[in-house]
Amino acid sequence: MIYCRNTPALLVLGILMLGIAALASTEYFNPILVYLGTAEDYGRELQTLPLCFGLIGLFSGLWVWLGKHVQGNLDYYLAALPGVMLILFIAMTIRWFVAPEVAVLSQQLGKVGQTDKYIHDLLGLNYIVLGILAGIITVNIFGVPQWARHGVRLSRLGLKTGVILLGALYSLAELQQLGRLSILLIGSFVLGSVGLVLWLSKRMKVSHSMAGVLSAGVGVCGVSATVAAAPVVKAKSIEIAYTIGTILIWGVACMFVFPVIGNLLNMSYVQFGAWAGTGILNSAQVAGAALAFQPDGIETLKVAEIFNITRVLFLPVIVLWLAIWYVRQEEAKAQVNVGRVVIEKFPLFVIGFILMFALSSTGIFAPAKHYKGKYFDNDIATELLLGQREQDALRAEMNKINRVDQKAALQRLIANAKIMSEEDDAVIRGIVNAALLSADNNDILKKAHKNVRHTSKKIKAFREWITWLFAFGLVGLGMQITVGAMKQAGGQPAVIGGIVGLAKAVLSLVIVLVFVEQKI
Amino acid sequence: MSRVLIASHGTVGAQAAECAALEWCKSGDNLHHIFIIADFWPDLTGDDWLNNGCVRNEYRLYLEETLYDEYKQTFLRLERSCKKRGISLDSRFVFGRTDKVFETAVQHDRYDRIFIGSRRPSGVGGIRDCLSSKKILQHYSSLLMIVAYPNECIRMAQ
Repeated sequence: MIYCRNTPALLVLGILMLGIAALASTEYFNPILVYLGTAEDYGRELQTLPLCFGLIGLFSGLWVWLGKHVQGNLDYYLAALPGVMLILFIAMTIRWFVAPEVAVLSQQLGKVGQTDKYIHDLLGLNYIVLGILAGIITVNIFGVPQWARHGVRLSRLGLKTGVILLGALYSLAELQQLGRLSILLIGSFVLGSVGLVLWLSKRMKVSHSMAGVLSAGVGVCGVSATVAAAPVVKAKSIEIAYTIGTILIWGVACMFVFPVIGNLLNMSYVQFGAWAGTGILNSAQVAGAALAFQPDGIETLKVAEIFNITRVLFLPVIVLWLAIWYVRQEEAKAQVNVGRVVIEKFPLFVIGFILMFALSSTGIFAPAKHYKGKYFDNDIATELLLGQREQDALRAEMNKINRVDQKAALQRLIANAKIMSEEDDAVIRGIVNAALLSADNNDILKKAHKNVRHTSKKIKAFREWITWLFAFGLVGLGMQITVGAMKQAGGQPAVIGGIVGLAKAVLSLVIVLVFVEQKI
Repeated sequence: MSRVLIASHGTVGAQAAECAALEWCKSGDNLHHIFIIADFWPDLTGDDWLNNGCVRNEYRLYLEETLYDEYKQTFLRLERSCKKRGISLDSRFVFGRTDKVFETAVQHDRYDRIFIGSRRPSGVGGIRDCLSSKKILQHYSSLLMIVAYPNECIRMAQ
């Protein structure tokens, strides 16, 4: 089979991207960027990314359009490019132009009531949410063009790669703390919701196959769990359609509602990540909600993904349990091959995640202290040391400081003309935040802090890359969520799924708010 | 000798249409049956991102088998009834958008009468993918029979 279609679509996308890069490098574009407030954040990537992908689109687009394609690997992989470029083009347009324009309009409308937040912040209308929405609109109104379908399916690879790479950004302490918390929360919620679905199904006299497929979907990780469990519990086609339709509606609704509630309750990144990771039925929408809550950082995503991975690790266990349960309920003579079920259903990308974590722990990518993005290093150039006048000014206000540790840190700073340790840096920041000294001296302290705090360029780029992978994956996933599929929600699964889904979301919110610390 | 078309998803409502068509047909008539596999099935896995290829493949094969079994059941039921009544049966299953499949079938051949099931009453289970009778009436000149749900024939069969 030949996959490539002779269409100019990829070439056109490449030219459009090159057009953005060319415009971004001229002065004429600056007023727009200043108006949108994106000059500082996206100025560099606006020139480099469309240039790189535009060139790829231009050359490969010419070949796709005019070349003679023969069956083989090159044809297979090349056929994915138009779809990939379409997703990227949508993601770029939304990130650089549409989302900032929405923010500008929202700011013009003013803050909402007592919330001290603009509408777009409150509703989480950032480039991730708008990108997913654009994907959903594209597939349901215009349909995914034939030339893009092969590439759109590749979006799940973007998500998997994003999760694998994310493995490099966890410290052992983070992984231990988040892992403990997620095993506790996910363990009880997965087992609880599977049990609740089975109990409700028995009371409502739902067939065993329906109960089995619904409990996997609602209890573990949504559509993926339904797909894994359906053949095992011999679900009928209508039962699969009902279950997936119900989960899709719940997942999409939660992806938009969770960030709003998180913003209204001023949840921390850790709390929101834990809540989204536990309460959202569908695992794809967990990443969407986490990035909707915190679009320009990955702290929430890191927490949510640990919860997601824990959930995914429960998948083979639950499928195995359901297989044994189904065989017993139906009094069937079939044998359950335990080893085969566990091995086949084990999500391989989790091994990639663990491998990345192990590799990064060896310091192969960057020194350990760089992984948080900012790191302390006081080996600085002489011109960055505090001058005599600045040291004198600080010395003159020394009597304003009462705490012993603050006094000591300040004395060390004055004596050495630079902050001497990470602990001293934290104490000095405390003095700045408490505004104990005059404004001028506060500025000197800020300068001293800035001189020893460095941004790890490598890690910053890595974080941005991961965000792009998730944005790519989620926009592509949005392009695969159809109203036709969601319309299949109904029957008893909608009732049972609704009850369990709501109970899971509310109960996990209460538990997270009461028991989960603001920070890890 | 009449040519009759039934388009169905194999639901209870469609079975009512099958029964009505069989009642109407006389010996020697041609009954054309199209079993439509709705095009939303691939979309149902669109959101699955974490399964391995072998899990997705196992699901695909299982679903194909299940849908084919549903078709086979409908086909065998119809074949039995047609044999009894001396009606010749031409049955096939087609994947696609329900209205498009129907449109292609009607454009390709001329039928004296078309039988479809009606919208099922609320609260009754089944896939959500109906043929719009408004569209059919606007575009086709054949006699269209929309069979009420569920009719006596189905009750008797059940």
